[in-house]
Amino acid sequence: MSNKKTINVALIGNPNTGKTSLFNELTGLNQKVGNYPGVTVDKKEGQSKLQSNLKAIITDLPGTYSINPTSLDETIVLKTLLNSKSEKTPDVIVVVADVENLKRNLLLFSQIKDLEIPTILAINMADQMKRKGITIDLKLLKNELNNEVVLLSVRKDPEIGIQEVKKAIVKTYNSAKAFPLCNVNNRIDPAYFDRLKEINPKYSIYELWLMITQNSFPDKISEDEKKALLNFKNDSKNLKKYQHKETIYRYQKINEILKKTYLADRSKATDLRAKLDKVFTHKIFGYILFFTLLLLIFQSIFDWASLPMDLIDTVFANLSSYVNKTMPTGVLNNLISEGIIPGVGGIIIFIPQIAILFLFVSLLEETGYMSRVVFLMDKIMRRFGMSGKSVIPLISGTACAIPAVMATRNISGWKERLITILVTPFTTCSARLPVYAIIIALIIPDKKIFGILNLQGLTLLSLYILGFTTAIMAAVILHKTLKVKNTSFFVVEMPDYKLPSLKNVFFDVIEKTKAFIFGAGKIILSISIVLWFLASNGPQAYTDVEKHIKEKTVSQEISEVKFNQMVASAKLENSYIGIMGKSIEPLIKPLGYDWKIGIALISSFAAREVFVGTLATIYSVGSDDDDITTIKQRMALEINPETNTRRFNFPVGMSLLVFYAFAMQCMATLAIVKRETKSWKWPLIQFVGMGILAYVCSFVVFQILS
Amino acid sequence: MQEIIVYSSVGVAVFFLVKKFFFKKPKSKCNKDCDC
Repeated sequence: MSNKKTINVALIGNPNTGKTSLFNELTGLNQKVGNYPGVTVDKKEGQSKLQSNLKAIITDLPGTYSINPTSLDETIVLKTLLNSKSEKTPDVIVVVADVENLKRNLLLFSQIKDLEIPTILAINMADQMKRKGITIDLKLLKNELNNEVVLLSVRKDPEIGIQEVKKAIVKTYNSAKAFPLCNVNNRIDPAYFDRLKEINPKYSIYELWLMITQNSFPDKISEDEKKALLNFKNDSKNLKKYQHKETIYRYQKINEILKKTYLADRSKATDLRAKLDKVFTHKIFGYILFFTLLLLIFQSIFDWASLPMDLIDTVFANLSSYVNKTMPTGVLNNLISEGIIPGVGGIIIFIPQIAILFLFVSLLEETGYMSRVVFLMDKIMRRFGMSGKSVIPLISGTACAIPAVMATRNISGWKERLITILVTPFTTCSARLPVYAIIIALIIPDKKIFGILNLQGLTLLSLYILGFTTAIMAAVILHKTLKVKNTSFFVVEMPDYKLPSLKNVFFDVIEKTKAFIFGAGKIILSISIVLWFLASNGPQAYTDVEKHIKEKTVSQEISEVKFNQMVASAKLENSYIGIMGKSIEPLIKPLGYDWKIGIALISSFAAREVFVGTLATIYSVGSDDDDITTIKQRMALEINPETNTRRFNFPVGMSLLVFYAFAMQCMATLAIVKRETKSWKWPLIQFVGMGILAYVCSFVVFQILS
Repeated sequence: MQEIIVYSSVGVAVFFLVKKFFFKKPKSKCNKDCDC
C-alpha cells in the first residue's frame, strides 16, 4: 500500500502580484483549466510534488484585494474559504504579496489568518527590493505575524524561491497550526461577537462574521442555521460601523507590524522613479523646475483663456445689445439686457480660466508630479500654518481667486484648507489689473530708473509682492488665532509616475466647472440682479433726471451722445446705489475719496474690474477699452472742489491701490468661499477682516502722504 | 405686466440671498474633518 499523500493548496493574492507566475512555476505542465460550479470563472488547478511522499493539488484562485467581494471572481475566493470544513478545500493557503505594496496585501493576509487556516506569506518581486530601497527584517516579520514568510522572485530567480515555498508549505501542513492575527472581535465588541458565536459554535467567529456581513454561506450549512444567522444580522444595528472598525483595526495592526519590520527608504532606491524623484524633490532643482512649470502654466492660462474669454464677452455684449434693441423698451428689457445677461455672462466668463487651470492641476495630479510638489513645499508652507498643497491655490490666485479657492479641496487638514481659502484672495488676481493699470497710469510717472526698470512696472510688481506677503502674514496670524480642530499630519503617498488617464482628467474638469456654475453662479446672478435694480431705480429725483437735463441744456448745443451720457451720469448719481455712494461719503472721506469713488467702490463689489466702467459712466465717457485714455484724461482732470487740486493725486491714488490690494471686493469669490466652507461665517469674516485692513491701511497711507 | 415680472425677479433674487444668508441647512462636517 502506497503511503503517498496529496494535499490541497490554494494561491490567493491581490491582482498583479505574480500569483499566476508562481502557479506556473509550481505546477509546470501539470495544469488543467475548468470552471467553478455554476459560474464562468476559470478554475486553474495543477499538481506539484512537494516531497517524495507528498503531492499538492494547487489551485490558482482569482485575484482579490480582500475577502469582502465586489465581483464574481472575488466571491469565488470567499466561497472557497468559507467551505474550509469540506474535503476539497485548502489544507494550506499561500498568500502571494507584492513587496512594494506589502501594506495593502497584508489586509487580505490578515483576514485569511483570522479564518484560522494554515497560511504562508510569499512576498514576491523581492529582486526589486534594492532598486526600490526596501529592507525587510524577515525573522522579525515571521515572529510578528506568527507565520511562515518566504521571499521570492518568481520571474528573476524562480528556483530558489520555489523550493522555499514548497518547504514552507510542508512545514506549515505538518505543524497544522493556525493562529488568528487580529482577533478583531475582541477589539470591536466582545459581547456582540460572543452572542454571534453562541448561534453556531461549529464555525469560528470570523467565519460567522463573514457569513452575516457578506451574505455568503458554506454549502453544507442547513437552512435553519442560515435562518438563525440572518435573524441575528437583521437585529444588528451596528453592522456597518463594526465593519468600518474592523478595517481600521486591521490597518492599525498592519502598520504596527510594518513599522518594526519593513523600511522603504526612497533615498536609497535606484530605479527610474527614484531618479526622477531625486530631481523633482531636489533642494534647488526641485524648486527651479516647479516654478518654471508654474510660469508655463500661468502663461498658458492667460494665453489660452484670453481668446474664449473675449469671445464670451463679445457674445454676451452682443446678446445684451440685441435684446435691448429688439425687445419693447421698458423695465423688463432693462432687467434682461442690463441685469440678467451681464450677470450670466459674469459667471460664464470665468469658465475658460477655471477649466484650463483644473486641466493642468488634474494632469499634474494624474502623472504623480503633484505629490512631489507637495512634499517639496510642505516644509516651507507649514511654517506659515499652511500645507504644501496650499501652493497651487496661492499661485493660481494670481489668475483668479475662484478656481484657486476650489483648488484647496485636495488639502486634507481642515484648518490648513480654511487658512488657504481665507488668505488666497490677497494674491493679486487678474480683475485687479484694470484698476491698478488706470491708477498707476494716473499717479506714477512713466519713467525709467537705472535706465532699464520702468517705474510703473515696478509699482505693479510691488503690488503683487504686497499681495503675496500679506497672504503669508495673514496665514501666520490665522494659524495662531484660529481655534479650529486640526487633524492634519503630513502623510503623502508618492504614487508611481504614469501617463494621465484622459477620462479621469476630463471628468475632473467637468465636475469642478459644474460645481462653480451651479454653486457660485446662482449667488452671483442674484447679486447682479439686485445691483442692477439699485443702479437702475431711484426716488423721484431719479425719474426727473431727463427733464432736468433737458431744461439745463436747452440753451446749449450738445450732441445726442453727449446728452445721453449726461443723463446716464445723473441717473447713476440719483439712483439708489448713487444715494448709497453719497451716504458712505463721510466714511470714505478720510481715505481721500468722494461720493463718485464711493459709487465705484460699491458697484465694484460685483467684480473689481467694474470700478473702471463705473467711473467711466460717472465721468460721462464710454467704457470701451479704446477709450481708456479718455477715462484717464477725465480722471486726471477731475478737481477736488475743497482743495482745488486734482482728485486723483498721488495720496488718493496710493490709498486706492492699497484699498484694492486688501479689500474683498469680489462677490463671486465670497460666493465660492461660502460654497467651499458650507457656511456664511467664513466669507463674512473674510469680507469684514479684509475690509477693515483695507480701510485702516488706506487711511494710514492717505494721511501720511497728504 | 413688465413691472410684475421685473419685481418678481428682484424679489426672487433677494429671497434667494436672504435664504442663503440666514437659513442654514443641516450640514455634515464630513468633508471638513477627516476625524469626524
